[in-house]
Amino acid sequence: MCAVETEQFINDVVENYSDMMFRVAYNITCNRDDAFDVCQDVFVKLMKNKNKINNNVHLKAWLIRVTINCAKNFKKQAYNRLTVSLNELSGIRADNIDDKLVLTSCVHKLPEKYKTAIYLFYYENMSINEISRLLGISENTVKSRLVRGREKLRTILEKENYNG
Amino acid sequence: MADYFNVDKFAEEMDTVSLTQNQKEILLDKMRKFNENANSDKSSKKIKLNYSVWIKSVAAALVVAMIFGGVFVYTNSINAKNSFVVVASAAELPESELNDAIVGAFSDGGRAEFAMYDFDYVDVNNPLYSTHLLNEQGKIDYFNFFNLSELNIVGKNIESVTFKANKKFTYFSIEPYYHAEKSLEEILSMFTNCDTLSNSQYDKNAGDGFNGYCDSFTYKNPDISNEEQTLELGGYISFVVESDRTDEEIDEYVKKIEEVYSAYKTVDTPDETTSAKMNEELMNEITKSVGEIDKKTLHGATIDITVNFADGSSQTKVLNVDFYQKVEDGVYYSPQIVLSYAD
Repeated sequence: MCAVETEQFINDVVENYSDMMFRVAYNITCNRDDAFDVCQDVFVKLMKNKNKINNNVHLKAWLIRVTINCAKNFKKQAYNRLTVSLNELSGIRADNIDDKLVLTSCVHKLPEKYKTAIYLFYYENMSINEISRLLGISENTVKSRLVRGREKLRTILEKENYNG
Repeated sequence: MADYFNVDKFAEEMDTVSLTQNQKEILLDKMRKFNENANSDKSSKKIKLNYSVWIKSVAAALVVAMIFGGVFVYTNSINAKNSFVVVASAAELPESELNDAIVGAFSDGGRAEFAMYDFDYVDVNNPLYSTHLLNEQGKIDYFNFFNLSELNIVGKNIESVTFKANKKFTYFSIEPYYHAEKSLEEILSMFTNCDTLSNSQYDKNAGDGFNGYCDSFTYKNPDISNEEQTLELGGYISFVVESDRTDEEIDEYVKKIEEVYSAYKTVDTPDETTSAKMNEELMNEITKSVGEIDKKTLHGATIDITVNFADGSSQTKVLNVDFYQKVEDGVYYSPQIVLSYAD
């Protein structure tokens, strides 16, 4: 790829996918700063691996998958454990709660596997088959995570007295 | 969707989660710096870059909706001035199921089960739903829908295309909200003659999240051309298969789904591994029953596709709608409909 094509690629990727990646990362980290750190890591990985990507559909799937993995790894990193607080246990850091994201914050209280499935299905409008391929799990596992996630979400919303 | 989780509200909130312009500049800078360092690397191994950038509008026209690429099958010649072909992807079918008459295969994407779960007993008593969710016997409406996401009409001088579902308990759903590029009003304005629904046993209304249930609809081509063009109707349209609860056999399958789902919600397992296994087994039962309902309902189902051309002539092609469900090692996969040209 020549310099002009690389510059075009970099601009296109940031313009078309950076917000999507940020949301995917935010859904897992529940923290905007951490989500941004994840995005930076993913973009570096992208630059290392861009030759292996065939087309835009492949690129989108690759970005989502790698972002999910990086975000999960980010949460496991040792220095994160040093800052665990009571709010951290519920998935939300007290210093970064966005008051306007009421419903989203309830989704963030779900276990990671449920909220990822819910996010990909209801926000990214991916099909069960697409999600199963992306996450490397069976279709039935995707469906069960969605159903379980929604049942848990119902409990959370009732507890929060959420009225939409 | 049950009213405790407002999907639109969730989407609205997520729309506000985005990077600042400054953050995007940082990302651009980071990628550029990485690239500069990679180019200045004095390693003796030469890296050949093969990636080619796809323009978004071209990619949107050509790339299939699924993650992996599909095979587009042209089943008829389009040399005649006023003729058309229906083009879709049959990538989901195994080779043993393929033949020249097949136009494409469409999965339910797993959404069927959730349409069923959404209408649970609590919601039935909700006045917003009761008017169109209960049939004359007072039984709940369940249905499966197959998004025709890659179904395209290819031809010249196409003025409009009309789709008509011929068999009872099969019809269409116009779902413009899945598209982010056009406004709802713009998309709905492209569809006309979509206000009759005699194929359903329920009084469906265009309720929240679901729009335009109809036996047939006409899509107006906004840009008629005497050059060959591809009309992408997919993504806007789903083919709906209703559970005929006046049929005893189908009604038994629906009851089984309801029982399994009730068990699913109440199952209490000692650990995550056991839970996952039980979840899989119960979900498998549901997917199997959904398939049985679809298989029976789709027997003999057809769709008429009529194209009206700019010179006043028209052509109709009839597609068979068949059922296919992959089963592997006892695991039932999402049902599919297979469209093929009738003899």
